[in-house]
Amino acid sequence: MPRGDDLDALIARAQDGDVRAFEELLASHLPQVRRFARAFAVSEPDADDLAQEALIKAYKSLRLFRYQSAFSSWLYAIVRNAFLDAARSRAGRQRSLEESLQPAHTEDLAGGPPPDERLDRDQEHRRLWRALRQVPLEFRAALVLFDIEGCTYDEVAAIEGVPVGTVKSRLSRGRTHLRRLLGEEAEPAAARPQPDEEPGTNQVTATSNVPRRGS
Amino acid sequence: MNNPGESGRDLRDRLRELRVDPPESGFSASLHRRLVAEGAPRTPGIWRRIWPVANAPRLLWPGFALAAGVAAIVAVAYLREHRAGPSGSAVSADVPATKVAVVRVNLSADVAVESAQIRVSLPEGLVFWADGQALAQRAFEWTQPLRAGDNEIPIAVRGLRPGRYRMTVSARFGDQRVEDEVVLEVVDG
Repeated sequence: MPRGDDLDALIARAQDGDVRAFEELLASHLPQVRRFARAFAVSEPDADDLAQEALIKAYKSLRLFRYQSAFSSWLYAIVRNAFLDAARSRAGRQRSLEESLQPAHTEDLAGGPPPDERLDRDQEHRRLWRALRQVPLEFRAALVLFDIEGCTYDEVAAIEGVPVGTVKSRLSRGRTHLRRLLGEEAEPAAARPQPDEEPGTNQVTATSNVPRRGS
Repeated sequence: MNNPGESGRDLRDRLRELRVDPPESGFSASLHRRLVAEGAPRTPGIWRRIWPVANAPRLLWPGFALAAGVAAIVAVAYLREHRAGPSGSAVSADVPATKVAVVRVNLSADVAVESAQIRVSLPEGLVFWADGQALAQRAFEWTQPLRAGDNEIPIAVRGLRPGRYRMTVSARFGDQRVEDEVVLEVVDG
């Protein structure tokens, strides 16, 4: 991945419509973006299409990048928003379908045949991805970025636009959801931090006397 | 395999094992075709000119207004906090139909936000205005950081005919979204 002036020059070329330059910028991020998409796609085959849609959105928005953050953080923020938009839009259209599938799906995740040593790695991975896709959206991106991709708290906070404390809270709650989906024991609810308890939780408020929203 | 009650570390280790590069499977070639078909990145339009000003000290606002040929500065709108939908208590201001108005939207954040997605849309009857002419776009969407505190964004608009219009402004960061309206009363004059 180019750095410094080389990176800036590459970004400038891409902003002027040089597709090859944009692809060079993306090269080291493609595997991560494609994995990221798996957590938000309807199904495995749809993940690459979702990833491409998000990357096209990033390309079309490239002239809005103003070098005020790392390019990678900007890219992942755009991609994440695109994934969330797609998932929320889909949720409205497909809620009835998802509900009709849920009992069987849940049984498959939590009450299916007890996992044992014969379960190979691919099956385990598919099972984890399937469970991740059912974790609430607000926790899902943090889980993927931190637990799978190995981003730091600061990096996830920059991508999500929230304080580090909120990231930690989302991770904790996301893992709890994930364990529950996998049919594994969860921590007692009282022991978990809640987002609203985090100091400095991100809120947009009016500059006048407008009461702040809760969670 | 994992048993109930396993440690958080174990779950994280299993998740980390998902970091496997997917097979190429023509992904790059397909992406290339779609990128080429999309054409060049969008031109930011008025926002490129707004950005340098948006981060400047407050005293520079009148300078921006003059440079843009603005004849009237009419309103300061506050984004009020709620999850979605108009607030019903929007800021209102009169705008002469013969003049361009700069609506200053103030996004106020408790803490700095690295990346907020901002969207401004106009109804029929109002147009964005830049470089002495109306813009065809009815909505603009962009991503920008927000400082802790006030973040004023000036938006030049013009009414095409008298009437009452609602300009919608929304901001999203993380899983939070705020939206509000500015009511503009376009009057003769």
